[in-house]
Amino acid sequence: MSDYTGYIVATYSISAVALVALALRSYMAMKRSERQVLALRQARKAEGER
Amino acid sequence: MHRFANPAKFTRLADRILPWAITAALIAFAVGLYYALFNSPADYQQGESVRMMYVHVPAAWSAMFIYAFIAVASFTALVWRHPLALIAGKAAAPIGAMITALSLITGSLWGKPMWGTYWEWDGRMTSVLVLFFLYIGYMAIWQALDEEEKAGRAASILALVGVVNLPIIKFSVEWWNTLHQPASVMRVDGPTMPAEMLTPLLIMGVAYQLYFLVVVLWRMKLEINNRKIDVMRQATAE
Repeated sequence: MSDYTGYIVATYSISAVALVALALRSYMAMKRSERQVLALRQARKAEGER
Repeated sequence: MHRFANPAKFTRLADRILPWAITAALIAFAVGLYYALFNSPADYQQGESVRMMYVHVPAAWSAMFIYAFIAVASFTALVWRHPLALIAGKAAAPIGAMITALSLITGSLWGKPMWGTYWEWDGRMTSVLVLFFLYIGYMAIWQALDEEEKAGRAASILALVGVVNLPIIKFSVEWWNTLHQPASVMRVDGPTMPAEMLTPLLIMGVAYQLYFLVVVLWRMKLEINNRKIDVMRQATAE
């Protein structure tokens, strides 16, 4: 165990959390928007058929 | 380039690239982290603390690369009015801001045991802080102006003006007295770093670039979808 362990753990943990959080947030927002586009398209199609 | 100006074509291309880019990013991170943490030597001066370099330096490289990407996208949007260029710039900014913040935080954490301080107003740290503020300013302009086209143009001009900061960051360690060491990788006469350290550093550098590619494609798809949603909602309201 080196004197720097705390700093090394903090550096890697902060980087991992930030990178994963932004990636997940972006992916989920993109998926949500895809579902919204699909729902709006289906609603327009249903309205057109009526 | 203009072939992919069509959002539908771009989305199809992104969907083809994404699985490969995600796989490559995961492999690069796994291999890079293994080398960085377990299979690279301690530095003869800095000891084990040198392991912080493998996340700090790639973050700093990416912070500059992403800003250059936004600047090129902004130039393309202003000169050729490429419809995807503005979307690319807008999508890349939050990633760049987060990675610049990471570069500053990890740098501080490395600085404390090595220099005895978390922060010093030296040329390198101050110019990277300015880069972070440029990202924040670019995103704030997009948020502040309602009209998409005006916001895009104003943000693009700021991005282009801010490019002057990139050479300042790069050469700050040569121009001013600084706690940072001079360049040891990107040098005209080749890297001075030993191969056992350079290899994991470059692998982590590639991993960060692949991460950026994956997330920017997701965020560009999100922007395109948001525009589609706005158009469809307006059409429904009319």
